[in-house]
Amino acid sequence: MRRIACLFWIVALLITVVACERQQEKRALDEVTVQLKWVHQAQFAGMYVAQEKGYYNQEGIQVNFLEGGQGIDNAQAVISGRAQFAVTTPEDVLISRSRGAPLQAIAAIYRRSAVVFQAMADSHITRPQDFPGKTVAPGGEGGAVRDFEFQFYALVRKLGLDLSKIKVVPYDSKYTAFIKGDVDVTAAFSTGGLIFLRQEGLKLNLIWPSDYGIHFYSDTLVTTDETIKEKSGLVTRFLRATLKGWQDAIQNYEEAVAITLKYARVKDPQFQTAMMESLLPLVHTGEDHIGWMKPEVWQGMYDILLEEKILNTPFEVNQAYTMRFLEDVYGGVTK
Amino acid sequence: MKLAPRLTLIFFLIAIVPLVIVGVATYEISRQTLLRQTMNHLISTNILKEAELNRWIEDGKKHLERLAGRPLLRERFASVMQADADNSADPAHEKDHQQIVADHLAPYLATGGFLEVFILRPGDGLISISTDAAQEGKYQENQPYFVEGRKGTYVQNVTYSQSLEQGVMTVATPIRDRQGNLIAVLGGRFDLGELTRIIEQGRGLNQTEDTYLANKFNFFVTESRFGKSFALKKTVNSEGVIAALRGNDGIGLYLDYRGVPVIGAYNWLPNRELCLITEIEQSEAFAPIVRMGWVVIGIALAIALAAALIAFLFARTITRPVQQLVEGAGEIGRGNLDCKVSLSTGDEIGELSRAFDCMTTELKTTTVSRDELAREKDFSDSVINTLPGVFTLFDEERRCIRWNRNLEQFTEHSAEEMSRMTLRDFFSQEEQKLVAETIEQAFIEGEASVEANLLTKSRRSIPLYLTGMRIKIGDRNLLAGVGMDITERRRAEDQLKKALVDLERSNKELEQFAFVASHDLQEPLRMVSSYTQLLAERYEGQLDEKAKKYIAYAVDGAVRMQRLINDLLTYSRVATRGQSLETADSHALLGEAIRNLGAAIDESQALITTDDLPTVHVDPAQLVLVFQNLLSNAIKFRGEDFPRVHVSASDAGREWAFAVTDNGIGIDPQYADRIFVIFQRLHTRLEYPGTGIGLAVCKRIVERHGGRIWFDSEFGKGSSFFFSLPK
Repeated sequence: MRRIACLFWIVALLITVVACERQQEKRALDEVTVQLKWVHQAQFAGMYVAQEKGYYNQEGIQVNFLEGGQGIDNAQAVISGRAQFAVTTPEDVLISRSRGAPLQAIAAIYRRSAVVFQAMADSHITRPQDFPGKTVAPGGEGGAVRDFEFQFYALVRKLGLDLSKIKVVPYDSKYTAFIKGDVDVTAAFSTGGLIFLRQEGLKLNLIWPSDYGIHFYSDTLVTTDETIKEKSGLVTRFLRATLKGWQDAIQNYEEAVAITLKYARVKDPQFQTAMMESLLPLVHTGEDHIGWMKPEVWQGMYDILLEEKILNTPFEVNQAYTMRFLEDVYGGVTK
Repeated sequence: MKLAPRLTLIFFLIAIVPLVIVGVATYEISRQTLLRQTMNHLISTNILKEAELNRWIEDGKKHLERLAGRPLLRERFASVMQADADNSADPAHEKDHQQIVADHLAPYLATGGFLEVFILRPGDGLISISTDAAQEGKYQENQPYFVEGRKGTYVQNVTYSQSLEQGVMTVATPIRDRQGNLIAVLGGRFDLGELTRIIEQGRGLNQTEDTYLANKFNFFVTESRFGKSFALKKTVNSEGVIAALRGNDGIGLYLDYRGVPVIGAYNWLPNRELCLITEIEQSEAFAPIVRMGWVVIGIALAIALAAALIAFLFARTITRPVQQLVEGAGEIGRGNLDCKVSLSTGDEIGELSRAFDCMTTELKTTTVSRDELAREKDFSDSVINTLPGVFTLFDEERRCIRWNRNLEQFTEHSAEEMSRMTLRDFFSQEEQKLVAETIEQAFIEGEASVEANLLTKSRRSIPLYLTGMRIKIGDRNLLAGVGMDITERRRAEDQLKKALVDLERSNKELEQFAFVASHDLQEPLRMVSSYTQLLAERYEGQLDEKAKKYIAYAVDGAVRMQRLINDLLTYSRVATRGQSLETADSHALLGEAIRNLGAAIDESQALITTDDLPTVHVDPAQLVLVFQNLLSNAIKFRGEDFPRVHVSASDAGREWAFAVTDNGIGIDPQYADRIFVIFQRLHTRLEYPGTGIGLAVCKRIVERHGGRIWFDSEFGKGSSFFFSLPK
């Protein structure tokens, strides 16, 4: 009798297991498209890790990445519904929001701005106060490099610099004039141009806007009000997987670089490793959880953009971001 | 395997197995002890380091607080603040700045273990004065140490500073005026290099001992022993760090950040949010035990080899005599029975060798008789094989156990097949019973014979005359069977039988013919004779002398003819009218013959004598006739003297030999062949009358009785007629 009972339980268990598995199999994966801010590179390593390690699949999500690039409007991609999520700048979010676009940030992946102003080490330019009388290349027309302009003008305004004494020239991603000495100060991303220039062997003075009260986030994850309202579960799952990917990428960034190389346009491990190393402190700052956002930072960014008249219509800044999903993901975890 | 290497190996193993067990146990125990010691050391190192770390931070805090509490600084700073607010470009103001740095802040760099000491404006976090001029003018308004430092002393854990491009750990404390109003925030940036030095301290004792801090994102916070500029640049994902990050304190064996096996103690420092790791490479930690291991192995091997050597020498003392024994046995095996081993040792092997020699001696004797036996067997094999017929020896189960080549040739069976056959298999079903009975009889009575047909493999049959004779070999009853091929004899017998039948038939026909002929010839003859005589009587006187003479010739011829025919009848009747044989006294029968010849004897005055004559088994009338004819001849062919006849008989073994001896004219031996032939006459009818039938009849009668008749004579000196009769 006992054996029969035992057998019964085993069979019951097997049926349950099989049934569960089948149910899981049956659950179709939610397809999600993510508009990246730029072409495939280590900048998005956390997402590649989440994809390759199956964290998205574990959350029931099938992710497709759309590369960004010159002329691609990342915010528009989400608003139009071409993508459900985008990696873009907080400025983009605020500007879109002020124009009435239903965009919200759900996490700040780069919690420090990668924007840095650089001058030659022997130029004695060490702070923004040294800019007057010098030639500065803070940015050009539109696109991602608008970050440079925003932060440059914010610095000028914050520190009360005389803009008329600063010769502003367009940003050149090749830095030709800067290297030649025709341009004294150029903006760059610490995750891009800085690496490039250091690889060229240049000794540089770095001037970080954040040292002067200009605190901008860089890459943020955004989605639409509609998605948040209709598919909040999906948003949580997507965010959880993405942050887990980033967590892994930081804890073992060499592995993350290896994974990135499957996607990257530039299949140069050295370059991608350098990018990875430079972005690590932006993602994990030593404070708070990865992706965590602070209202004062949003407020600060909003204030700066409003002051610069980038935002035409004032609005409640907390409409531009939501902590709901970060709180969902991290719950009571304290790390 | 030979004895010597085996013994050597066994001793080697006996020596090495316990040594290995002891060695392994010792090794393991020592290893555990060493591991425990190492672990204790690592744990205490961690406790020490944690205490040092805390003390270092506390010291920094205290120094900073003391500095913040200095009235002089407060006063000086207040005036500087005022000047700043006035936005004075007075060089004296600049000098004040430098004075504060030089007088108040700079001395604390060394004493507090700071890289930078600076004063922040309380309103917006601007670095007003700093020991590092490059930092002046930056805003720290969102830094936790500024936000918290306005309220009280606050230590901000290690973070990465973008602008400094390195990790920083900052402590801040408020500067208040006498009324307790916040006038500034004093900050001190810890020298993380100093932190590394503190953590590194004491590493020197071991080659590979490594202590470092890692943050909650797995980044090195202090430099590790085997890395360069790892702090906040490289991550570490070893088991120790992962465990510590889960909030666990402990110790374990795992692979460190380089992938090298280490023993590591790990602690999670919650208030610092750091992992404290102290590791030592297993290879170094276990080095003494490895050395000990080698020593143990060396000793074990040395002892085992010594044991093996001793075992080898010992084995030699055993194996050498054994080897001699083996050689001796080999020698004997090759047939040299004179070989002697004779070892002088007093042990069991010596005894064995002596027993061995005894055995050799015994063997020698046995071998001689064995050779004789072999010769004997060769002889018997030859004899068996040269026997003209088949020979087989079989046991009580009727299995063939030995046979000669003839049997194989006859039966066409191979020796191998023969060995599986019983005697029955050689005979047809009809004859099996007969053969079996004969064999049974032979086993019981000791001897028996039978004629039977031997079946060959190709189902031919060969007639054999089989004789079985029981013989006893050892305690076994065996039957020796000999079979002679009687094919030829059978054929001869068959021919003879056929010839006899033919002969008998022709004899019968002849006798029949003779009888019928002679009997039927009588009738016309009698008519010739009687009518001639009738003619002579009727015409008595009318006939002339010549006619009478002719009639007399005709009558005489007819009478002679009659006599011839009668004789022929007599001759033929010997076979056809013969009476059955009976026992008779030959003497009496001779008497009857003499009586029958009474007239002739009287006329010739013959003297007939006789010895004792035996009783014989004869047809009496015919024996009378034999005597009568022989006596008649003896009288008829008399010489000048009166005839004298002597009849005798002698015992000639299986038969009686009768002799009739006379003193007559004798017979020329050249007629010996003709004398017994019917109607053969040696003389003319005128010399001695008679038809010449007498001796032919005698011969026929004697032969009918199974005897012979012959004569012995010398011409002119009488003759002796002999005849024999079976007893």
